[in-house]
Amino acid sequence: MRAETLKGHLDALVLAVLADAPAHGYAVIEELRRRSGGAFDLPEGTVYPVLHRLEADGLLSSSWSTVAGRRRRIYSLTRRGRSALADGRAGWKSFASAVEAVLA
Amino acid sequence: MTGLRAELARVGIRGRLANRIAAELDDHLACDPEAHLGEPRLIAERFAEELRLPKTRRATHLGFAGLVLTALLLGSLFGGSRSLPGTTAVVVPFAGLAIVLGAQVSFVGGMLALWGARRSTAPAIVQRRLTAALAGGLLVLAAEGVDAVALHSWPKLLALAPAPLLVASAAELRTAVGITPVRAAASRGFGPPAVWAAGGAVVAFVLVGSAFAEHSWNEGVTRAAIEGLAFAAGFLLLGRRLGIRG
Repeated sequence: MRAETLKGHLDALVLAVLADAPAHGYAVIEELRRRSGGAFDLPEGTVYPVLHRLEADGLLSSSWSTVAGRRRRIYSLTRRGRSALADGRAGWKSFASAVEAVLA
Repeated sequence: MTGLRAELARVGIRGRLANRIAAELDDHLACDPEAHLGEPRLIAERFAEELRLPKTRRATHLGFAGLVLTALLLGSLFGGSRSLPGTTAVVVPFAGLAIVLGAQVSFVGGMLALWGARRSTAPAIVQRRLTAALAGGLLVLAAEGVDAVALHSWPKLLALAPAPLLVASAAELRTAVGITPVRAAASRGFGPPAVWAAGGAVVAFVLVGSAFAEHSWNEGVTRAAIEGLAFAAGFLLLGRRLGIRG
């Protein structure tokens, strides 16, 4: 699926992945790919800027850890992030049902 | 990634942020050496595009918090009559003038920046407003420090407490300015009505407050007129830069 198609929903998708457990960028991308059955095979370089923006907006927090001698940035959801995810889920349900009603 | 750092620097991302991005992408490639992260130029531009608004907003919130604290401490620690012995007779009035000017610029700049940040105004305009606000706020802090030292009034040095917030805001602002393309600030007409209403409220406050404090309406009208002229001068001098005058 093209990245443009996901525009507007990527924030909620990333927040949903991180709602279950903190993760680093690579794991977030892999989890998006796995949960979507391979449909969300995003250009990997596009997800990191989104993670940084969500952190700058206070929806994520992050910290360094060390794995096999490498520095790894681990992201986790903040309270504001959980609230934004709930809003995103509600917004998506409303949008999807409206589209369904028109297309059906 | 070859060339990533140069591309990040080209779009204004340097220092710790650039190091962090490079480390994250290095870790990604270590997890999957076959990963296709994309062109370094596109990655760098995407980072700049995604970060310029939230960085500007964060700098504005930090700066506004620092300016509010500055105003509260200014109100509670400074004021009242003072004897001015020796050289302090020269220094203290200048510090007082700097406090008055700096406070006005930071008040207007800070209100405009916060207004713009909350309405997602073009980041370049918000950054200019915040720059003026922080310059005014730092001038106030410097003048407060000079005043406290000149008068050997050490408890007044507590007024410098907001300095870390203002410095943190300035650091965030520096990054935001670096990743924002330079464009001419678009005219915003006469700016948000709330700012003009707040300015009018300040002039009215000066009018009534001075009249009661000095038991003289003439004094109140004089000071309010000076306040109004200061607003008008600020509008003429800074209005275009702050994006409120065409």
